[in-house]
Amino acid sequence: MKKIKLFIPFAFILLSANIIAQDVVVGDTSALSEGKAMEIYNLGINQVNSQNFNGAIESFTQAIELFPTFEKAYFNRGSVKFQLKDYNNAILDFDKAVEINTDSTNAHFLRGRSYYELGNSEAALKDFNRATEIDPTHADAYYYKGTIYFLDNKFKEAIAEYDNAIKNKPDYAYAFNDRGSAKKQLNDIKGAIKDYEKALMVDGKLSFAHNNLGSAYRANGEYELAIKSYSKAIFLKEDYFIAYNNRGLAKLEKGDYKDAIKDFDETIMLNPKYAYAFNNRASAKYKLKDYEGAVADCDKAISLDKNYAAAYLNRGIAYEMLRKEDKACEDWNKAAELGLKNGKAFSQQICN
Amino acid sequence: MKHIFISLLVVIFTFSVKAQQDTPFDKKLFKEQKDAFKEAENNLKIGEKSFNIMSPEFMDENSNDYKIRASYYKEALPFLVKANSFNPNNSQLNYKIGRSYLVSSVYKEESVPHLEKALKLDPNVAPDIHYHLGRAYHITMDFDKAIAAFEKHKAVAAKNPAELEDVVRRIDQCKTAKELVANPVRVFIDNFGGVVNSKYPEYGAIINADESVMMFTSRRNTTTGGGIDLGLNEYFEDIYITKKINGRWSAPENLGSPVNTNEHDATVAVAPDAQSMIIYIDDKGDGNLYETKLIGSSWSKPKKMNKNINTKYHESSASYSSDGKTLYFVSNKPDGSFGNRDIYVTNWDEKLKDWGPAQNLGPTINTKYHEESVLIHPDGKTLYFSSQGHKSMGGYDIFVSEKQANGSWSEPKNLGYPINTVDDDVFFIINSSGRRGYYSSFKSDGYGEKDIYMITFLGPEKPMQISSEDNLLASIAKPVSEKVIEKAVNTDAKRITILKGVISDEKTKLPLGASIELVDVEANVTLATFESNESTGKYLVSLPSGKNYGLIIRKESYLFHSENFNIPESAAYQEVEKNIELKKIDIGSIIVLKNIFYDYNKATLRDASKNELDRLVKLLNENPTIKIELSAHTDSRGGDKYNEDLSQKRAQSCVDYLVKNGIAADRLVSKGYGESRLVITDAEIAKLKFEEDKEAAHQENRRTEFKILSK
Repeated sequence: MKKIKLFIPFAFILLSANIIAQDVVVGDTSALSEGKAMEIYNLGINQVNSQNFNGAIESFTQAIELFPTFEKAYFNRGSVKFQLKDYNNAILDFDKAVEINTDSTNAHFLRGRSYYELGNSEAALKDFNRATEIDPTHADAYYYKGTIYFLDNKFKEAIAEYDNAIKNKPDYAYAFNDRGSAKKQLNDIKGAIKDYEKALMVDGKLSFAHNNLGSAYRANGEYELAIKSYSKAIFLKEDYFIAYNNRGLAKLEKGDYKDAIKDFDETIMLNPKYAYAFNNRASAKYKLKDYEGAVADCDKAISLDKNYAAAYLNRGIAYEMLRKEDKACEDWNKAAELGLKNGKAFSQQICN
Repeated sequence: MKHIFISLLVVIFTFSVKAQQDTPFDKKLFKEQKDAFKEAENNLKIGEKSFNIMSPEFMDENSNDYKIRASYYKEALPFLVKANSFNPNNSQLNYKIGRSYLVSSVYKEESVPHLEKALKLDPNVAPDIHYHLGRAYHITMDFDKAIAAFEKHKAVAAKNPAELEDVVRRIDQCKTAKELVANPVRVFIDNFGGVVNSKYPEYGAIINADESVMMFTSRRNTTTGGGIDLGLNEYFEDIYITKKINGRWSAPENLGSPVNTNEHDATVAVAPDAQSMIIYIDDKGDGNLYETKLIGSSWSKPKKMNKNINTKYHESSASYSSDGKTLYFVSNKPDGSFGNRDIYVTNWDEKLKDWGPAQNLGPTINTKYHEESVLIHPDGKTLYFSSQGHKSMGGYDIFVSEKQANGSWSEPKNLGYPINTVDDDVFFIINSSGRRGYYSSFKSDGYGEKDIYMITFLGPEKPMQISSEDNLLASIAKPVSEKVIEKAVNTDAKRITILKGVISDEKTKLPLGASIELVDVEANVTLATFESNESTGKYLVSLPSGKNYGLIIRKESYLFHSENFNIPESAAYQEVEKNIELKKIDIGSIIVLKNIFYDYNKATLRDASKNELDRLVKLLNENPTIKIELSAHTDSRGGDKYNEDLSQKRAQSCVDYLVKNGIAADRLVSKGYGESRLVITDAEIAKLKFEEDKEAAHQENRRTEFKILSK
């Protein structure tokens, strides 16, 4: 994290002012309080470091009471609240920190992060922009700007921000990963593969980047490489059911239906409520002409997610093979209702 | 024991050799089964009689002779099979059974074991054994073996170009079949069911627009007149009708007179408005197309279509275009033909109110082999037909061709397996939506002979929708906790010393409001001036690290008090409580001058000391009567004498400075006490835990003082 600039040491303010008070105690209490505030503040930092977040909040609060313009105490209290996911109250503290020091990069950044977590991307973007305005090398602020654009499906804008993040932090594995994802969304699969590989060059233990690389290979039809990447992801994270599911799909697309089923089985073992895996296993069973099995898996997928359009569509396809045209049509109509074009197409084609 | 074992082996060997031996029908070999032999021999004779009527040599499959021979083989088959059950090891008999099965309607696959056995019993059983074996393998879809067998027959066939061509074509068909079987089309093929299909042949289904009425051709025992076509040994064809009532097909009824006659009457086509129908009437072997119209609820007497369509040759299939203005039909007339049966087209002549001259559809559609059973889809441009040519996988296959914008036809495409099989696939119709089709086929799971089948076209495989997700955004996949904590105060803001305490009168202990001057000793400048609280005497000063501070507390009629705080840059936050008692200017009062500094181990005064000495000058000037003793003290370390000398010299340095600054020398006494008057004793220092505290104690002992000697 970047170091924040210190506000002007108050002691000097005190010393340079030739304080001649009627009541020296009163006049000098501030200095005493500030000293105390700092002590308590430091205690708060120790508490943060020892994960005693509530204690830390209390300490920072006391520090603020003793020293009402203690920017860092506000910031740190906000930061702790942020860590505790109490974003609304974190924002109030960052507001105060920013009020005291309008050039606080970190306060802007973390307030941006808080807004981001609360889904207020507009306010978040504003803060991240201010953060990079104050500190044009703030890689994290660029990175989160990229994230906001990504989530808003503005992938080109996202890439530009990731570029900035990487420029200022050339080993920014997350930014490489996310830029790869943005490129993938823009169908630049080769570009995506390169970025995922770079992310992994920086940090080979990023299981999700291995998974993403696998999916990029899959999108490119390179199933063997995809399977390898997913396997690495699984090796790094044994319970990575998403990667198991994806490896199953790579095998399915490659035509290894039986192996695919094994991966979907494993996915389901790891996450018995993962409707996707049931739906996908249905696909593999369908390919193996196990239509009853496919229907059963779709049933399960639908029981887990009543609005799972693909599962209805697929069950319809399996029903058709079981010569249960009425049920197939019912399912395709449901899939169409849930927005699947193929549901409508199949229904129009067959259910007259 | 060994002997017995060898004997046993010989017996087994002899037996097995005998089992493989070609066994002639010789009564000497069956002495103990005289009656059975006689019966078998009789069956063999009857069977062979029929079998041998026609030449066993190669014949074109489409030739009449071939069909006649086939009917004789069918006659022969049951007798030959009976003979074989008595003596299964006769190569010739197995060969003949194999060939007979091969031309049967539905038991073609039975030919394989017989032909294989015939070959095994006698590799030279017949010159064309490999040809028939190839056909048997072809029909049982054992394509590689079929190709190998046909390849073997090539040498034998070489002498007859027609035979060689036939072999080569069958090899091609096997290759096509391999491809098509490997990539089957997605269809359901269902037997139309026992209500319609029977042990007799059913075919030529035509169905109305809403698929509620079907007419078809059958050669069953209910045929009008009950006659049998002696040439084929089957009943004459008649047209039957079945209707779908409440989702079920009714028992077929013979369409009856005048449509059906005592001869062959077969379905051909229904007009788009379903008000007319084309039927096939054998016309004593001529084979013509007739049209009948629905008047009320009965069909009119069929009327023979004009000469543009019917010739003295054989016309069979036909199909109306959806506007009824074009008619496609099949004829084997040689005029303009590309060989055997071809597909022709004729247009309705509005002036003549009849069909115009027929045109051959051309070589894209018509081959030198047979084309049959044509159907033009209601879209007017998709033509379905059966052909033995093109890329057939065996027998007739159904093909589709599209009429192009320029009127030409696209290359016919095989409808694929399993719609097409290695056998004849003919009489294909398709409903308007293209979702369902009907055709006739020999299938082993049928009701006997040709049956009507329904095809449900599933179209290209419907892609199942798979679901996947990735962890596209790293920050979401593995969120980084933003542990941004400001720690700067630890190093910067904390670097301050809070000095606080109470200033009071040394004797009365009453709090004093005194002035506090903070000086930077090194720079010899005043940093700030404070005052302690008059009523409480409390004071507090913040001293940022990095300076050597001098603190001078003054109060009128009191001796000034000095403190020194040298706070290095690295000093951490600390609070120091320092209560200061000011002393009145009384004889005997001692003040430690804490801001007097000497060079190390020397008596030389450092510049930083001058401020303190100047204050002393000021005091002495303000109180011109007082006399003072200036003394210097060392800590306990170092030799006594050395310390005493050093302290004496240091005290003198101070006196010298004061004299130099105008104080009369007689008011001043210098005294070096060395380590004789320690403020903190060695014993006390020894008790201190920390080195820095010990050092501070020593520092306390190293001091310069003045004492009021007189007022």
